[in-house]
Amino acid sequence: MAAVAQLTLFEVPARALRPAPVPPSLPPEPSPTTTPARKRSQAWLALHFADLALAAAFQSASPERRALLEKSAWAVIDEDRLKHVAACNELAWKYGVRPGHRMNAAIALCGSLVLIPRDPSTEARLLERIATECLKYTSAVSMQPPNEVLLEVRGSLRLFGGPAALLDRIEADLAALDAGLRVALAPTARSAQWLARTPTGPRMCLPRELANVLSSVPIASLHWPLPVELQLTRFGITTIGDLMRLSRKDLARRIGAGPVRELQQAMGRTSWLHRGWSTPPSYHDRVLLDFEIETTTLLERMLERPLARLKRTLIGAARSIDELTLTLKHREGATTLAIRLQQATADTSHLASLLHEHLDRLVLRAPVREVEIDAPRLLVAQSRNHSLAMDPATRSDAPNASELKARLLDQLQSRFGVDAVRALSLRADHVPERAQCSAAPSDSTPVLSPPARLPRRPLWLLREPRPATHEYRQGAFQIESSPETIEAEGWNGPSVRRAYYRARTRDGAECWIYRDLSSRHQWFVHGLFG
Amino acid sequence: MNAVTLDDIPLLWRAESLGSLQSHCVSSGYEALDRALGGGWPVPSLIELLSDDQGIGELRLLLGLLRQQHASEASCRRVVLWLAPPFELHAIALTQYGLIPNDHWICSVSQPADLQWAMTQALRSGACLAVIGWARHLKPAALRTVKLAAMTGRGVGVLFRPMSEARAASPATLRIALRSNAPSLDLSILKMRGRRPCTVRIDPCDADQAGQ
Repeated sequence: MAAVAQLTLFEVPARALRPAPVPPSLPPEPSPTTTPARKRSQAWLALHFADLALAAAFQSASPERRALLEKSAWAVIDEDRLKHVAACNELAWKYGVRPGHRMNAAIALCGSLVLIPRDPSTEARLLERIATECLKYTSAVSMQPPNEVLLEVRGSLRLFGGPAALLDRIEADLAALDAGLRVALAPTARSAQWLARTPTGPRMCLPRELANVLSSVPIASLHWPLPVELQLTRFGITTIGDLMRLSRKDLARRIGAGPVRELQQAMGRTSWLHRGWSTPPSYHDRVLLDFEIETTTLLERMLERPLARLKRTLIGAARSIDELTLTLKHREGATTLAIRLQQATADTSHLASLLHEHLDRLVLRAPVREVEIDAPRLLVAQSRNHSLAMDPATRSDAPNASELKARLLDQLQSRFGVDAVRALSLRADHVPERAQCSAAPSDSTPVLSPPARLPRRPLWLLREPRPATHEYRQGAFQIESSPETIEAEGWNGPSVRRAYYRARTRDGAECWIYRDLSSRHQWFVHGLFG
Repeated sequence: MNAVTLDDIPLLWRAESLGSLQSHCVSSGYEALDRALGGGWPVPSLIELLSDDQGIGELRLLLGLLRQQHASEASCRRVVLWLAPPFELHAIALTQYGLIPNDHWICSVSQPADLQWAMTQALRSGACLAVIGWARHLKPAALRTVKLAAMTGRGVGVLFRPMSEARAASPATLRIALRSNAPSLDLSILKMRGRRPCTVRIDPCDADQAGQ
């Protein structure tokens, strides 16, 4: 069953942000059907990445270029007609370069400025990756392009040890990205988003102080369209507090309905629908190696971390994979390794062992500079009940036989090739060599039963009947049974007329020999009674 | 004059007492062999069969071991892995002896190192009831690895080796040299943990009559 990106909708409560405190002496309601279910309060966590463009450009750069970028002043340039600076690093900031400057102005301020064109698709991919990472904090994740992610974390607060601990943890987890992250926690999604955008605002906001906190948020940090912002400044309005004092209807007439609706959403008076983010249907990872790798053992070591990352993704999203493709990129061309599994798994240690076999056989034709890891499908993982492992004798969490078989098959196939392992199966045919075939092992092959009253057949069958006319004439065989005649006329293959005997050779081996009745008395050995 | 028997000597430890340590036995289907082995094939174990000839009843010897499947559900059954067999297995004959051909996987390997690796992995995985391989030269260290894997995965490893290896030391649980003495088969048990070496004569045709 393939996982489909589920589009879940969830909403901010339209009202009752502050649930009426229930006196502890009051007995619980006897029948829940008579009273409408009270809406649960929500806690929204907004992640605002001020320097997402910078981080995306840095992540997609090659290692040599990264080293260069770390030492110099650089800026990301919008690809529009005027080439504005979208973001710049600290060194460029010191020279006086600011986002919004034109390219010429920026170069005039800092002659050695390195310019990188902005790539919206890399930014979108980075944001998707962040959203996927965030699925480990809560299942209600919503992406807000271009550079924000919203999480509903009411249910996760206790698990992570309270709001402050959760915020610290998220900041620590995403610190390595260096994308100018600001987080904020508030009772509504819009207010959390606004607080995250305000560099000077508080990090956390309790439901009862929402109006107070919001009223001090400056209009400039709301990222509203420039005309609206200018118009409001002309009114003499600088904070949301000023804005809230005005009549809603008048305000809507002057600055449009959009900003007013946002204000209502921030106060929790109107709902705001989000499109939920869930695990993407496929997995893609790219590892830029710091140096060129020439041996597969070193490559295996380098792949440990990406595999751990894959495992985190799979376990976090309760997914499993049945196929993994590794693309090893050389200076010219690439080598592809495909691992196909018999059963979907989230166990990367099994994948690592299979990878070891694949890499063991591989001869690198050129040094590897980059590795791409792709899983075309993320399947919904089959979860199993595990027993409490109190008593090792009654533990039943060991994988079942079919899983064990699938794993063994994977291992053998990775080392010896896909066709190396075959299972026997019967076919309805009278001629012994046509009555069986070897197919890829599977549990679903139908079981045929041969006729019940056949004479005993030998356990060994020779791949090709061996001519033995000469030996027979010399008396090498002592026939011990009456003949079994097999005749077959067929469209597939030549027609066959044979008389089979059970015979014993001089050195004691029992053979299955036949006389070819169609050509004059030719004798063949066709099997051995092993 | 007093006759002193072994039982009278105190502090004498007999190797036969080890036989009871063997956790589990599977009847081979041949009464004489079962008696000599103290119940049947030891499970889990590594068994070495030394023989230079084929077609003397060497597979019929193992039928009891391969027939110990309990589950009828295909997904619960363990498989029998054949590594580098000298000939093809005859599927109809397998069904005649009460085995299911689908449970028999055949893997062709060429190098001894590959054979040892495949045998170790298959036995350790626990997915195999038995792994049957044909090998010439294997170092004692390799055999020890295979035996440990068999103990881990609770399976039986069977190795067919040439008679010339009889003199080399081996860590196998059981070593039997097979010699044809038409129409019967002479089994000289060279080594069996906890029992004395001895010679047994069986008739492989007993298996043919048993299944009919």
